[in-house]
Amino acid sequence: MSQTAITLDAFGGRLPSERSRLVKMRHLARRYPLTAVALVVLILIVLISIFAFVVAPIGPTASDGLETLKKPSSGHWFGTDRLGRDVFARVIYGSRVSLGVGAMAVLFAGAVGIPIGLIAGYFGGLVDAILMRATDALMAIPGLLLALSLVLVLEPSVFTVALALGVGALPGYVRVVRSRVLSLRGTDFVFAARSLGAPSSRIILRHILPNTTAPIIVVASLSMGGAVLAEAGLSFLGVGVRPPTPTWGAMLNDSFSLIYIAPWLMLPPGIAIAILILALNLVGDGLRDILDPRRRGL
Amino acid sequence: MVSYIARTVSQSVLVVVIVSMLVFLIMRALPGDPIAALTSESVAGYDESQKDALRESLGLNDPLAVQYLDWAGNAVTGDFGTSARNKLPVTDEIQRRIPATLQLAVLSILGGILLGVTFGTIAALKPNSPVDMVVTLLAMSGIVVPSFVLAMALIWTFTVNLGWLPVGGYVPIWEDPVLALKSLAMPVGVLSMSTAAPIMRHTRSSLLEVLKQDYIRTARSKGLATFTVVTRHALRNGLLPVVTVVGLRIAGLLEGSVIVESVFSIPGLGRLAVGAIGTRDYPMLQGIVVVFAVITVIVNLVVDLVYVRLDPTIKYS
Repeated sequence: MSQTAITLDAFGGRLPSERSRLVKMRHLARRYPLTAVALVVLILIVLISIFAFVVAPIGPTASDGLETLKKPSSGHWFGTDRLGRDVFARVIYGSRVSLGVGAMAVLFAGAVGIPIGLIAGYFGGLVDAILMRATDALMAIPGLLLALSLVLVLEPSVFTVALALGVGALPGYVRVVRSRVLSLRGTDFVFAARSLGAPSSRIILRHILPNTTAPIIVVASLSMGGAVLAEAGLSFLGVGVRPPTPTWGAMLNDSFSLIYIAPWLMLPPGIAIAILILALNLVGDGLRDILDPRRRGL
Repeated sequence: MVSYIARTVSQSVLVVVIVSMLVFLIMRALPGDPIAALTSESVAGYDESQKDALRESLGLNDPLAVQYLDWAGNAVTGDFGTSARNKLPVTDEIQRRIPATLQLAVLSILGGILLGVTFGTIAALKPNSPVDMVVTLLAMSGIVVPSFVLAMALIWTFTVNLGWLPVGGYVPIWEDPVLALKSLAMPVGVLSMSTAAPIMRHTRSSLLEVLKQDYIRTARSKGLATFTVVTRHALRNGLLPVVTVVGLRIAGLLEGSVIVESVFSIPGLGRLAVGAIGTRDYPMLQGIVVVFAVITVIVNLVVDLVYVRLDPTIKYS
């Protein structure tokens, strides 16, 4: 936007784009309060995981043999586990694995899935058919089993678990990007670029890709919820990130065997997982409504 | 129509072939020498020439493509090789475990559809009412609460505290129906919840759309009872998109069965898979993944074909 004739004073000293963005965000927050709250919760969880050492004064692996399976108290807010470790600290530090694995899985899936979707949608024909059948095949394998097999191949660490879960999240990106490309392929601006002699690579990267960002953001936030859930499932089954690194899934598995003796142990990690996934889903749903003009009216 | 069916079926076959290739490649990419795993168990010890002979006899010296064709050729005839753990045929073990998984999956799908359609309809009839909000909340919790967390909460309530239900296990329904239903109640409940959630949401949104249509107003103005309007007129169209959702949920349901079977110690395919991971039984895992994928593909194929029958407005060529 060129606003050459208007001085900055007219916008309260701010650049017009900057000001309108703030106004827009406030407007959106008022219109989608649930999404705004979920976003704030999500940001809080990220901050807590980054500053875990500030939030939790006791280390997550520090064990006290005299303080095993204690009920919640002022010293140990969520009690202590079988080895006398502070459950509060383990839940706080556990968020690092969930967020880290979730974010990396989504990034990996995007890095591979977006190009595949672009190529399949743009070139169509045989290339499209082959890529889409491969995507269907990936979707037909239950994600958890795929991840289990892949984690077997690779030694389980934060990185490899993320990689394994990313493979399961691939089809989501491919399908969304492809369908967006299919509808963009016939638009006038793509036609114009092509008639000006732009090569396919330029059309895809400069004209089509920027127009696919909205659905990509939505898929990313929704599939991150799925990845967090799957990571917890893997850890619960004992094939996720190795102990003593605290993970919510492994904590739940521990507490399952103690369900008769110390049932309170399952609450903190269980609630933590539910809150994180709820926040991710609400943000994803909200973004879909905000970014999709057809849904804006609903 | 015929060409559409032919194309859909051939695509499904292609998908299964690609699945088998993917699974085969993943398993072959595993670190470690399968021969070392096979020979390390014997006390006598093998020298290099014996290991080579074994490798040759198992076809491990052949090119990867030949190995794949060998394995896939046998798999087509229903032979998935022998388990690395107990040297018994993988197919036999899978066949033994299938009933428990199918019993769980079928009941959960039915439970999920029943719950999802009922509550989705109730929510759609009174949008933005307190009832709608409760239903939406339930659907949301079915998505965000992991199955094992819900399972543990149920076990704590109904087994630990009330003592009403056994922790699980598997009783064939034709042997002791009461005990079978009791031991199935919690696992089916858990899987039904996660299946019902997306069905609920889709039923609600699709029905909301349908209820605005003219023919619904016509039906109402004829003086038909709301119940009749909804069940005879609205749901017939409103459930069309839901059919697709049910198909898409199958993979998720099988995935959920892996965890639910482990929690409730149900001797099904999912638990077998987890066990196979523990003992690094690759042939077994390979077989299970292929079986799961085939089930998923077949169900989706059936859903696709049923959809054509159900929706007369879609022309397939």
